[in-house]
Amino acid sequence: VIPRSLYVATALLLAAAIAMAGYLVHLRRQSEAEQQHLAVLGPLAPPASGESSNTVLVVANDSRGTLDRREVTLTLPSQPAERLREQLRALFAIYMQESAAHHIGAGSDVKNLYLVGDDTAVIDLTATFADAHPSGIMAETLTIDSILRTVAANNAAIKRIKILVDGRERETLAGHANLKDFFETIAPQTTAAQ
Amino acid sequence: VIVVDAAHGGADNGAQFTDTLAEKDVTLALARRIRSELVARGFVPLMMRDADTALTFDQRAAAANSASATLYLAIHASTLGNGVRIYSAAMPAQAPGAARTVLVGWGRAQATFSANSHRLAAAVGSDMTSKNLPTTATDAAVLPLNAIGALAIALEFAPPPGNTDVPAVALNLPSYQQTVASALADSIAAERSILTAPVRPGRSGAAQ
Repeated sequence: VIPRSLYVATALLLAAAIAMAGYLVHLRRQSEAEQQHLAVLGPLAPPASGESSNTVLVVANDSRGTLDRREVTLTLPSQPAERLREQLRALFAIYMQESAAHHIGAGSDVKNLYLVGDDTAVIDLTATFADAHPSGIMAETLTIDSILRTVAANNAAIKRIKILVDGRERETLAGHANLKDFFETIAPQTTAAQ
Repeated sequence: VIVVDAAHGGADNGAQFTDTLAEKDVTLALARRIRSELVARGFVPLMMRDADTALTFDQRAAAANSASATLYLAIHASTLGNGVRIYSAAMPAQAPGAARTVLVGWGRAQATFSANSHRLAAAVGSDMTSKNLPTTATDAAVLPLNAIGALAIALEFAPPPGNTDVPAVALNLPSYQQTVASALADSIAAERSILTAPVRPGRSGAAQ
């Protein structure tokens, strides 16, 4: 004969296991929702730790076809590659605002940034950056030029830049601009009319 | 011989202007008009594609090279800005004589021709502007411009002034396309001497 108390204990344990499984599913869904929300928001703000530094962002304007210097103060890490990555993320954050004069797709980000040797940077962009980028010579050229000039404005030692997408070489950004070759950085002081 | 390349095609729509209008359709329509206008001025145009055909960048470059073309025109379309933009290849500076004395990488094949390409783009741009068709000549690193042994110009045309409220429709207006095609062919004919000028080392494409 099985004691009644054992039935009760088993039932309680079973109920607890079901409740915990339900809670686990809830936590997982919550985590996925947060990840999706972050992806939509795009780059996170630069980290709070580190020193405040003046940064030059070279910002594209579609209607005027220009690249304009904008000076901002960011809190940046000290490591050069991380520092440059955050500066580019700040540039992308501008382009992801609804009121921006030049747009890139929501969720665009710099996945990784590597400094190779004394003068080369490899910028690894997320797949979303390329897949959601507006297609057109002017739109794509403005984006790339603004990246090249922003890098040059903040790290004069970098002369060559390679752009990857999701860790791989890609033919074009969105059907037009050539990503197969290395870029040379462009003097930031020039405001270019496309 | 002038190669006229209607950009995109097949599964590659290029920019999608509306649900029913893609860049590949606009570029093909304009390329056909340019072909007719070039024929009328005594040129021999070769269409890279004359249907909704998919071509890779390497196929386009190889076809242009094997045609022994003097000029390669890549036709694009965009709803940004106003008027016409003529792009020539942005190429790193090349030391004088370098192309004749050392092997040139495939990615820099166009550098040998870029000086004439820039001259032609500027001259055609200026000529078209004088005909009340606002045209800007500038540089861009666009495929397959950097991989062909010919002058390379990419034409991107945006809505005409006054039609910015219906840009996609304006791009596909036969009358506007005809105006662009006629003016472009006129300007190329007027600057014909550049097409036959001696090839000089390329200039820097970095400073715009």
